[in-house]
Amino acid sequence: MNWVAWRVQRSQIIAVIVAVLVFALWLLVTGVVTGHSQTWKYWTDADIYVLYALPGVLGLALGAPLIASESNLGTNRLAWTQSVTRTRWLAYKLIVGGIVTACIVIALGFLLEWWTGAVSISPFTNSGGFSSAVHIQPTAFDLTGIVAVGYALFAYCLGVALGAFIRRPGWAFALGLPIFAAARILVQGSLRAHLVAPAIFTNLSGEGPSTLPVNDGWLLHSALLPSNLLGPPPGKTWAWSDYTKSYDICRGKPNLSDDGAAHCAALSHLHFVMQYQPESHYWALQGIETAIFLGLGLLLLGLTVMKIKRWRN
Amino acid sequence: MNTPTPAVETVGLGRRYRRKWGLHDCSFTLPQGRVAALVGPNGAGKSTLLRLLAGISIPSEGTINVLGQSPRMQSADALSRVAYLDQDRPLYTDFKVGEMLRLGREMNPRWDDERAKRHLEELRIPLASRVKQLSGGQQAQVALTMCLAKKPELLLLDEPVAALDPLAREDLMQILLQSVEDDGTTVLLSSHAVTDLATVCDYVIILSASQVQFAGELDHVLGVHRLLIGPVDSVSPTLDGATIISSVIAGRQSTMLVRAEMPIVNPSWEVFEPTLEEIVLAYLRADATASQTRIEPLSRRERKSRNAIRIVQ
Repeated sequence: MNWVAWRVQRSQIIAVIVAVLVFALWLLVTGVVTGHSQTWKYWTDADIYVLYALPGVLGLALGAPLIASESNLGTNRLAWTQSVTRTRWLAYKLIVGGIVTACIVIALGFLLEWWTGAVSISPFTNSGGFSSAVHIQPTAFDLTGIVAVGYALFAYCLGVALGAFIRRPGWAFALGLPIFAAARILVQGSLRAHLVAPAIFTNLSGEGPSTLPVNDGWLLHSALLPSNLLGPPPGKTWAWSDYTKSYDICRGKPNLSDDGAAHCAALSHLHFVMQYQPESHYWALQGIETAIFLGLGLLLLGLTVMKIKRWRN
Repeated sequence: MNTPTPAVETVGLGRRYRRKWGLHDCSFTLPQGRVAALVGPNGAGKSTLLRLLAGISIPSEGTINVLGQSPRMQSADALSRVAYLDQDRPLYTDFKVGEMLRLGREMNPRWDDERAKRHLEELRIPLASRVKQLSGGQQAQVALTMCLAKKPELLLLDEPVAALDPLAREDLMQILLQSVEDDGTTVLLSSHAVTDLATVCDYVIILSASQVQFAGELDHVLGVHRLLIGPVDSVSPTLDGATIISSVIAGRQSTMLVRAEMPIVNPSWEVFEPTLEEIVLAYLRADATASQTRIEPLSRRERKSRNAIRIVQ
């Protein structure tokens, strides 16, 4: 049955691998050339979206046809009338496609890490690519570690499920892309910051060498707040203007010394609060976010199993 | 060959497609070891019934028992005992013929590889050729070979002779008979070619207007149906306890096909024994008249067919 699962998906897998190899070749060439010249810039801000989309496109390309193309050609009726139950049939197919998806994403991850270092261009740090980046900050976080595997496997399961319900591989792929993007945006924008309780940093000015851990972390919020509070009171936001009237008056006075900010804050009974995810939370966040996407993927597979058990021909 | 467990037993079986019934209130029993013909006009529900029995479609109402189990359960054991030939003959078209056999081998515990290879050799279908390069008839033969090599207890064949030339039809019928003799296989096959069936079948299921009109032994079918020819004003044969299946009036003469458990004694009718084809046609015609609007052109055609019947008799 392993052989059957592999053989049925073979051409799809080869097509995806060839596309990935072409992409990898481009990375290799540009990485080596730029390493020597340093003048030719391949990297634009728009390229980051290519890297964001990559796990999704990969997963959907391998997942969407898994059931949909069989249903399209009617071969599911052949497969389901052999002596293997549908659930087992699906399990074998899922494993073959899933392993391929995960392997490609992991290999690409290593290549990209080398490449960003080689071209010494990275939109999220001064230089040096992923390896010297502040990994906890959004862009580096999304492109390093293990989350990309979670994204790709989620997209794979999404493609499988959509393919089972829509029964057209092309449509399943097309519909899968915005859903994948929405899930990523939602988790990155609203959920990730709260997956692990953030750290709090306070001082009077918000400046100085003591803010280093914050700058090396992922800053979520910062504000001048009343000195008895570490976050905005219920019903209020982190907006400065809510708390800083007397501070602004103080700051408006001329001839203030360099530590005027701290002085005014102290006078106004305010302190500077920064909420952030320190670099030390990197693996915890990576693990939880990967688990969330894998969990969503498993949920979709559950729906898929139900769907093929009640398949209506 | 008769065993207490029937090969197929359905009670009140129905399958609805949106607003229309594909099959409705269908009850019949097929004992083991028979070669049964499933006949009926296009759209009568033959394919629907076979798909339900094969477990790849789900009934909207009623119950099915196939070899003592519900096909809904889809256990590996139940699957291995039933082979199904879909009307579309789905095959993996990019597979080589030999790879299709390997699929069969890996997915079926009782697979008879020798038999499959011998069969294909007799048909001069090379194992090295790709499925998509075969003709329609050859593809049908490969699909059929896979059904036979599975060594099922019940063979469900949807229009098995449709794509075959007359010689191949003859061969197929021989193979089926052989398989029934050797392994006690029960065969249920649907077909339009009623004349082909009469020579091999010993059981008939007539399906029309989404319902089973008749199911029984061929001898019984032939025994209880009568062809009556007499003047238009003859006493209705229903007085003798007969059910009129179809009646054709041409000029002053009326031709009727009736179902009668008792002999027709009314002297105004000439009584003939109909052939299976005539009986099937009568049921099909009854279905057509029930739903048709243009009576005139149809009756003209029937006049011709009635002449043919008289010549036969």
